[in-house]
Amino acid sequence: MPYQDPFPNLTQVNHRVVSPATTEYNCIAWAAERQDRWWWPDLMGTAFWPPGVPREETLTAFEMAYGTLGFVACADDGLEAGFRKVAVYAKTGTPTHAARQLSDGRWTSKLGEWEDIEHATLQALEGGVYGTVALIMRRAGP
Amino acid sequence: MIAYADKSTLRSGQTKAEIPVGERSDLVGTHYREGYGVQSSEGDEADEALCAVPDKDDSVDMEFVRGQPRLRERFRTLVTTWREECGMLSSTTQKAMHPAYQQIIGMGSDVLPLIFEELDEAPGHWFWALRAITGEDPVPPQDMGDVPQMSEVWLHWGRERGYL
Repeated sequence: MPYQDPFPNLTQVNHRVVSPATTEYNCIAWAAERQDRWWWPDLMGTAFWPPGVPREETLTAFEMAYGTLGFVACADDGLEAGFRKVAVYAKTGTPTHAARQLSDGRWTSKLGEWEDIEHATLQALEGGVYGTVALIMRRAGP
Repeated sequence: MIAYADKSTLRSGQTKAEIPVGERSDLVGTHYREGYGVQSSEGDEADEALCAVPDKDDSVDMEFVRGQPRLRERFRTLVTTWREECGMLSSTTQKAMHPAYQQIIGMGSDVLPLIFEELDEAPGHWFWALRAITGEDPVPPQDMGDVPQMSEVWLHWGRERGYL
Protein backbone atom coordinates (compact mmCIF):
# COMPACT_ATOMS: atom_id res chain seq x y z
CA MET A 1 0.00 0.00 0.00
CA PRO A 2 1.74 3.19 -1.08
CA TYR A 3 1.67 5.99 1.45
CA GLN A 4 -0.88 8.57 0.49
CA ASP A 5 -3.06 11.22 2.03
CA PRO A 6 -5.46 9.02 3.99
CA PHE A 7 -8.18 11.69 4.30
CA PRO A 8 -8.26 13.97 1.27
CA ASN A 9 -11.57 15.59 2.32
CA LEU A 10 -10.46 16.48 5.82
CA THR A 11 -9.62 20.16 6.20
CA GLN A 12 -8.62 22.47 9.02
CA VAL A 13 -12.14 23.82 9.21
CA ASN A 14 -14.27 20.66 8.99
CA HIS A 15 -12.86 18.77 11.95
CA ARG A 16 -11.21 19.12 15.33
CA VAL A 17 -9.17 16.72 17.44
CA VAL A 18 -10.86 15.97 20.75
CA SER A 19 -8.68 13.38 22.49
CA PRO A 20 -5.16 11.96 22.31
CA ALA A 21 -4.04 8.99 20.24
CA THR A 22 -4.30 5.57 21.86
CA THR A 23 -4.06 1.93 20.84
CA GLU A 24 -6.60 0.87 23.47
CA TYR A 25 -9.71 1.23 21.33
CA ASN A 26 -10.61 1.89 17.74
CA CYS A 27 -13.38 3.51 15.72
CA ILE A 28 -15.68 0.50 15.91
CA ALA A 29 -15.53 0.53 19.71
CA TRP A 30 -15.73 4.34 19.84
CA ALA A 31 -18.89 4.34 17.72
CA ALA A 32 -20.32 1.80 20.16
CA GLU A 33 -19.33 4.13 23.03
CA ARG A 34 -16.78 1.66 24.35
CA GLN A 35 -13.20 2.59 25.17
CA ASP A 36 -11.89 -0.59 26.76
CA ARG A 37 -11.42 -2.85 23.75
CA TRP A 38 -10.19 -2.86 20.17
CA TRP A 39 -13.08 -4.22 18.09
CA TRP A 40 -12.48 -6.11 14.87
CA PRO A 41 -13.57 -9.51 13.52
CA ASP A 42 -10.11 -10.66 12.46
CA LEU A 43 -9.68 -14.38 12.01
CA MET A 44 -6.50 -14.44 14.07
CA GLY A 45 -8.59 -13.51 17.10
CA THR A 46 -6.48 -10.54 18.17
CA ALA A 47 -9.41 -8.18 18.76
CA PHE A 48 -12.78 -8.18 20.50
CA TRP A 49 -15.91 -9.03 18.57
CA PRO A 50 -19.37 -9.37 20.11
CA PRO A 51 -20.11 -12.99 21.03
CA GLY A 52 -22.45 -14.71 18.61
CA VAL A 53 -21.64 -12.41 15.69
CA PRO A 54 -19.68 -13.98 12.81
CA ARG A 55 -16.01 -12.97 12.72
CA GLU A 56 -16.32 -11.81 9.14
CA GLU A 57 -15.23 -8.55 7.58
CA THR A 58 -18.60 -7.98 5.96
CA LEU A 59 -21.23 -5.29 6.29
CA THR A 60 -23.66 -7.95 7.46
CA ALA A 61 -21.38 -8.90 10.34
CA PHE A 62 -20.91 -5.23 11.29
CA GLU A 63 -24.65 -4.67 11.14
CA MET A 64 -25.10 -7.64 13.46
CA ALA A 65 -22.38 -6.35 15.79
CA TYR A 66 -24.08 -2.97 16.24
CA GLY A 67 -27.38 -4.81 16.32
CA THR A 68 -26.27 -6.38 19.61
CA LEU A 69 -26.35 -2.83 21.01
CA GLY A 70 -29.83 -2.11 19.70
CA PHE A 71 -28.95 -0.35 16.44
CA VAL A 72 -31.00 -1.08 13.34
CA ALA A 73 -30.32 -0.05 9.76
CA CYS A 74 -31.93 3.20 8.60
CA ALA A 75 -32.12 5.27 5.46
CA ASP A 76 -30.16 8.45 6.08
CA ASP A 77 -27.59 10.19 8.21
CA GLY A 78 -29.72 13.18 9.17
CA LEU A 79 -30.20 14.19 12.77
CA GLU A 80 -33.42 12.69 14.19
CA ALA A 81 -34.77 13.66 17.57
CA GLY A 82 -34.70 10.72 19.96
CA PHE A 83 -32.20 8.67 17.96
CA ARG A 84 -28.46 8.08 17.99
CA LYS A 85 -26.80 6.96 14.76
CA VAL A 86 -23.68 5.18 13.66
CA ALA A 87 -22.25 5.03 10.17
CA VAL A 88 -20.08 2.24 8.78
CA TYR A 89 -17.65 3.01 5.97
CA ALA A 90 -16.49 0.41 3.50
CA LYS A 91 -14.00 0.14 0.69
CA THR A 92 -14.67 -2.36 -2.09
CA GLY A 93 -17.34 -3.86 0.11
CA THR A 94 -15.12 -4.42 3.15
CA PRO A 95 -15.84 -2.40 6.29
CA THR A 96 -13.05 -0.01 7.22
CA HIS A 97 -14.35 2.50 9.72
CA ALA A 98 -17.30 3.63 11.86
CA ALA A 99 -18.44 7.01 13.12
CA ARG A 100 -21.00 8.01 15.74
CA GLN A 101 -23.40 10.91 15.50
CA LEU A 102 -23.33 13.55 18.22
CA SER A 103 -26.40 15.25 19.61
CA ASP A 104 -25.80 18.34 17.47
CA GLY A 105 -25.68 16.33 14.25
CA ARG A 106 -21.90 16.36 13.92
CA TRP A 107 -19.97 13.09 13.95
CA THR A 108 -17.15 11.69 16.03
CA SER A 109 -14.53 9.22 14.85
CA LYS A 110 -11.50 7.47 16.25
CA LEU A 111 -8.91 7.30 13.50
CA GLY A 112 -7.38 3.87 14.02
CA GLU A 113 -4.63 4.31 16.60
CA TRP A 114 -4.70 8.05 16.07
CA GLU A 115 -6.85 10.65 17.79
CA ASP A 116 -10.60 10.98 18.18
CA ILE A 117 -11.96 13.76 16.07
CA GLU A 118 -15.25 15.54 15.53
CA HIS A 119 -16.15 16.11 11.92
CA ALA A 120 -18.94 18.13 10.44
CA THR A 121 -20.07 15.54 7.91
CA LEU A 122 -19.54 11.88 7.11
CA GLN A 123 -18.12 12.91 3.77
CA ALA A 124 -15.14 14.50 5.54
CA LEU A 125 -13.64 11.02 5.96
CA GLU A 126 -14.63 9.64 2.58
CA GLY A 127 -12.45 9.26 -0.47
CA GLY A 128 -9.30 8.02 1.21
CA VAL A 129 -8.42 4.86 3.04
CA TYR A 130 -11.92 4.47 4.50
CA GLY A 131 -13.79 4.47 1.20
CA THR A 132 -17.40 5.61 1.47
CA VAL A 133 -20.31 5.34 3.89
CA ALA A 134 -22.06 2.03 3.26
CA LEU A 135 -24.39 1.57 6.24
CA ILE A 136 -26.30 3.88 8.58
CA MET A 137 -27.88 2.53 11.75
CA ARG A 138 -29.86 4.12 14.54
CA ARG A 139 -31.20 3.35 17.97
CA ALA A 140 -33.44 5.21 20.34
CA GLY A 141 -31.56 7.32 22.83
CA PRO A 142 -30.83 10.83 23.98
CA MET B 1 29.74 -25.97 20.41
CA ILE B 2 27.08 -23.37 19.78
CA ALA B 3 25.61 -23.04 16.32
CA TYR B 4 23.43 -20.12 15.25
CA ALA B 5 21.74 -21.89 12.37
CA ASP B 6 20.72 -25.36 11.50
CA LYS B 7 23.61 -27.05 9.79
CA SER B 8 21.16 -28.61 7.39
CA THR B 9 21.29 -25.26 5.62
CA LEU B 10 24.83 -26.09 4.53
CA ARG B 11 25.79 -28.62 1.95
CA SER B 12 28.25 -31.32 2.90
CA GLY B 13 31.68 -29.83 3.54
CA GLN B 14 30.50 -26.31 2.81
CA THR B 15 31.14 -23.30 5.03
CA LYS B 16 28.83 -20.30 5.25
CA ALA B 17 31.24 -18.17 3.24
CA GLU B 18 30.75 -20.53 0.31
CA ILE B 19 26.99 -20.14 0.17
CA PRO B 20 25.84 -17.75 -2.56
CA VAL B 21 24.43 -14.54 -1.08
CA GLY B 22 21.00 -15.17 -2.52
CA GLU B 23 20.79 -18.49 -0.71
CA ARG B 24 21.71 -17.13 2.70
CA SER B 25 18.46 -15.50 3.65
CA ASP B 26 17.69 -18.26 6.09
CA LEU B 27 20.92 -17.53 7.91
CA VAL B 28 20.97 -13.74 7.89
CA GLY B 29 19.76 -12.32 11.15
CA THR B 30 20.09 -15.51 13.14
CA HIS B 31 23.82 -14.90 13.28
CA TYR B 32 23.51 -11.69 15.28
CA ARG B 33 20.99 -12.68 17.87
CA GLU B 34 22.10 -12.95 21.42
CA GLY B 35 21.41 -16.47 22.49
CA TYR B 36 17.74 -17.04 21.73
CA GLY B 37 16.92 -20.55 20.66
CA VAL B 38 20.52 -21.47 19.93
CA GLN B 39 21.24 -25.06 19.15
CA SER B 40 24.03 -27.21 20.43
CA SER B 41 26.01 -29.55 18.26
CA GLU B 42 29.45 -31.06 18.10
CA GLY B 43 31.93 -30.41 15.63
CA ASP B 44 32.33 -30.39 11.91
CA GLU B 45 33.66 -27.59 9.73
CA ALA B 46 30.22 -26.28 9.01
CA ASP B 47 29.54 -25.78 12.69
CA GLU B 48 32.93 -24.14 13.16
CA ALA B 49 32.06 -21.65 10.45
CA LEU B 50 28.73 -20.83 12.04
CA CYS B 51 30.13 -20.40 15.50
CA ALA B 52 31.85 -17.05 14.99
CA VAL B 53 31.04 -14.70 17.85
CA PRO B 54 28.90 -11.76 16.65
CA ASP B 55 31.22 -8.84 16.07
CA LYS B 56 30.79 -5.77 13.92
CA ASP B 57 34.43 -5.86 12.88
CA ASP B 58 34.50 -9.49 11.86
CA SER B 59 35.09 -9.45 8.11
CA VAL B 60 33.42 -12.81 7.62
CA ASP B 61 30.36 -11.59 9.48
CA MET B 62 30.23 -8.42 7.38
CA GLU B 63 30.24 -10.54 4.25
CA PHE B 64 27.57 -12.66 5.82
CA VAL B 65 25.16 -9.72 6.02
CA ARG B 66 26.28 -8.09 2.76
CA GLY B 67 23.36 -6.29 1.18
CA GLN B 68 21.21 -6.79 4.26
CA PRO B 69 20.62 -4.13 6.90
CA ARG B 70 21.26 -5.34 10.39
CA LEU B 71 18.26 -6.93 12.04
CA ARG B 72 17.48 -4.10 14.45
CA GLU B 73 17.95 -1.41 11.78
CA ARG B 74 15.74 -3.28 9.35
CA PHE B 75 13.11 -3.83 12.03
CA ARG B 76 13.07 -0.13 12.94
CA THR B 77 12.65 0.86 9.31
CA LEU B 78 9.77 -1.58 8.84
CA VAL B 79 8.06 -0.44 12.05
CA THR B 80 8.30 3.20 10.98
CA THR B 81 6.80 2.41 7.58
CA TRP B 82 4.07 0.28 9.11
CA ARG B 83 3.10 2.95 11.63
CA GLU B 84 3.04 5.69 9.00
CA GLU B 85 0.89 3.73 6.63
CA CYS B 86 -1.37 1.82 9.02
CA GLY B 87 -1.75 4.04 12.08
CA MET B 88 -5.12 5.31 10.89
CA LEU B 89 -6.50 1.81 10.25
CA SER B 90 -8.88 0.01 12.58
CA SER B 91 -8.70 -3.27 10.72
CA THR B 92 -6.26 -5.56 12.45
CA THR B 93 -6.33 -7.66 9.29
CA GLN B 94 -5.23 -4.75 7.11
CA LYS B 95 -2.56 -3.83 9.63
CA ALA B 96 -1.23 -7.37 9.66
CA MET B 97 -1.35 -7.79 5.89
CA HIS B 98 0.72 -4.67 5.26
CA PRO B 99 3.98 -5.59 3.51
CA ALA B 100 6.13 -4.10 6.27
CA TYR B 101 4.33 -6.14 8.95
CA GLN B 102 4.56 -9.25 6.80
CA GLN B 103 8.29 -8.72 6.41
CA ILE B 104 8.60 -8.46 10.18
CA ILE B 105 6.76 -11.77 10.55
CA GLY B 106 9.05 -13.19 7.90
CA MET B 107 12.07 -12.37 10.02
CA GLY B 108 10.99 -15.23 12.24
CA SER B 109 11.91 -15.89 15.82
CA ASP B 110 15.03 -13.72 15.61
CA VAL B 111 12.81 -10.65 15.69
CA LEU B 112 10.93 -11.66 18.84
CA PRO B 113 13.23 -9.77 21.25
CA LEU B 114 12.68 -6.60 19.20
CA ILE B 115 8.92 -7.05 19.13
CA PHE B 116 8.88 -7.57 22.89
CA GLU B 117 10.97 -4.41 23.29
CA GLU B 118 8.33 -2.53 21.30
CA LEU B 119 5.54 -4.02 23.36
CA ASP B 120 7.37 -3.20 26.58
CA GLU B 121 7.64 0.46 25.55
CA ALA B 122 3.95 0.80 24.73
CA PRO B 123 0.99 -1.53 24.16
CA GLY B 124 0.47 -2.09 20.46
CA HIS B 125 -0.76 -4.40 17.76
CA TRP B 126 1.98 -6.99 17.76
CA PHE B 127 -0.32 -9.86 18.69
CA TRP B 128 -0.84 -11.12 15.15
CA ALA B 129 2.91 -11.24 14.56
CA LEU B 130 3.55 -12.91 17.91
CA ARG B 131 0.96 -15.58 17.22
CA ALA B 132 2.22 -16.12 13.68
CA ILE B 133 5.86 -16.43 14.70
CA THR B 134 5.49 -18.42 17.91
CA GLY B 135 2.43 -20.51 17.09
CA GLU B 136 1.25 -19.71 20.60
CA ASP B 137 -1.67 -17.73 22.00
CA PRO B 138 -1.35 -17.13 25.73
CA VAL B 139 -4.18 -14.55 25.81
CA PRO B 140 -7.35 -15.87 27.48
CA PRO B 141 -10.57 -15.30 25.50
CA GLN B 142 -11.92 -12.80 28.02
CA ASP B 143 -8.96 -10.48 27.36
CA MET B 144 -9.37 -10.45 23.59
CA GLY B 145 -9.17 -6.87 22.36
CA ASP B 146 -7.97 -5.48 25.69
CA VAL B 147 -4.71 -4.19 24.25
CA PRO B 148 -2.94 -3.27 27.53
CA GLN B 149 -3.90 -6.59 29.11
CA MET B 150 -2.96 -8.58 26.01
CA SER B 151 0.38 -6.79 25.98
CA GLU B 152 0.96 -7.72 29.63
CA VAL B 153 0.11 -11.36 28.96
CA TRP B 154 2.51 -11.53 26.04
CA LEU B 155 5.25 -9.71 27.94
CA HIS B 156 4.92 -12.23 30.74
CA TRP B 157 5.14 -15.00 28.16
CA GLY B 158 8.24 -13.39 26.64
CA ARG B 159 9.95 -12.87 29.97
CA GLU B 160 9.39 -16.48 30.97
CA ARG B 161 11.20 -17.54 27.82
CA GLY B 162 14.08 -15.08 28.07
CA TYR B 163 13.12 -12.73 25.27
CA LEU B 164 13.15 -9.73 27.60
